[in-house]
Amino acid sequence: MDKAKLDTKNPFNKGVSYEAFLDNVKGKTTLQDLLKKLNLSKDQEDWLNEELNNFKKHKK
Amino acid sequence: MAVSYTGGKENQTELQKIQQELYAESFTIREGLIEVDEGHKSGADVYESSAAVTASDFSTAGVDIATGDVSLNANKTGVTLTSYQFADQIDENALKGTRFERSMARGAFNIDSGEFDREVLIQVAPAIGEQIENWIWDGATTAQKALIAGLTPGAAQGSISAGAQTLVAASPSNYFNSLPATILYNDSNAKATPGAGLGDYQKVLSIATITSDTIGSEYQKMYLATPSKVINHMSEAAEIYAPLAHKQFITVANNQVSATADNKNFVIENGVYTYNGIKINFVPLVGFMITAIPSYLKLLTDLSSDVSMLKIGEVANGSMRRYIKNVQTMATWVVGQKYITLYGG
Repeated sequence: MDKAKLDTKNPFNKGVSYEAFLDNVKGKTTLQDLLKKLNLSKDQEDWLNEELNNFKKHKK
Repeated sequence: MAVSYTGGKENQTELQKIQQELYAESFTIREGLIEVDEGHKSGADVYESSAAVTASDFSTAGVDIATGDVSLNANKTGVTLTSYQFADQIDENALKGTRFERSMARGAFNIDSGEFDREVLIQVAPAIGEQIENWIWDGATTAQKALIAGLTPGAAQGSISAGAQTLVAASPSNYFNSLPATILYNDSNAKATPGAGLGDYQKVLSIATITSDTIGSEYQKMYLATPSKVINHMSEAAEIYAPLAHKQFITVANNQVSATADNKNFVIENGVYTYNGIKINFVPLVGFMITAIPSYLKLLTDLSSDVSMLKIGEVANGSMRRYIKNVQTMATWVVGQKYITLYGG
């Protein structure tokens, strides 16, 4: 897989880890900004938020 | 006449029945909900194979291996079984002075109560059965938990969900891996990337908490994520394996006041629950659900009746105690992994 071309701003892209996705949260870019751009359904957004919470807990 | 009595009072009657604990049924082995493969002592080789064919332009020339269009593949994976035991010594001397003393044979050496054996000791076998039933569907070895925790989580197919890692971390540490733990991480040589790592399972995306209100839509997500080949497999129909509590959610969902016969998501006939024609087996899964062809989910063991085989005997050297011992050897395994859908994975 060509990692240079991988769009890590969409966590639903194959090969994008949560860690890589959250690396985009920096400067003035918030998680909510990133999620908004993805035009997710409510189910997708709720699940992703839950997943990211689990990921953060797991990482501690 | 005044009556006086000293010496303490005692109850003059007792309930004959000794209420026993309620044990979950061990359906998985007894009913063969998955493939139980016997005759393995310590390890077993599991073989998988496939053939791929490609059509080519017609030719009257001879066929040679360089231009051939048929690929045949066979591979082997060794699976290690784990042995463990449930064992203890029984000292019924503590039962003297209780109702159980009445069923002890005469003679000071005889301290075993027939009634205690019939009413209490007899519960060891179903208690073990319940334990094994739980282990098949929930939990992992400590080593497997660490391996699953070490996987890189992500949302897309081909990566473990963080929710799955949380579920496994919170699950009990057992002597062998449950089926979800084996599906999530294994060293099968039949995977697209052979060897140790994430399983090749189908993941269900954007899942939500299951209640009687959401159960229809969550089963729909799993159904749609299941490969069409599996849904249409006629020689061995796929089945759903779901947590025990789903039976209540489904029944409640089907009986909601607004529900009509036309919009019920599940069919319940003669105690058999189905979703879109797929039979649902209720097992002690926690957080996960599986849709699979039953023989793709395996329990490797020495002898399936080991689960209920208890050896009881006298301890040596004049001991008045008895030993009780149950020994088992088991491992779970999965084949055809890319056709297994793991909800929650």
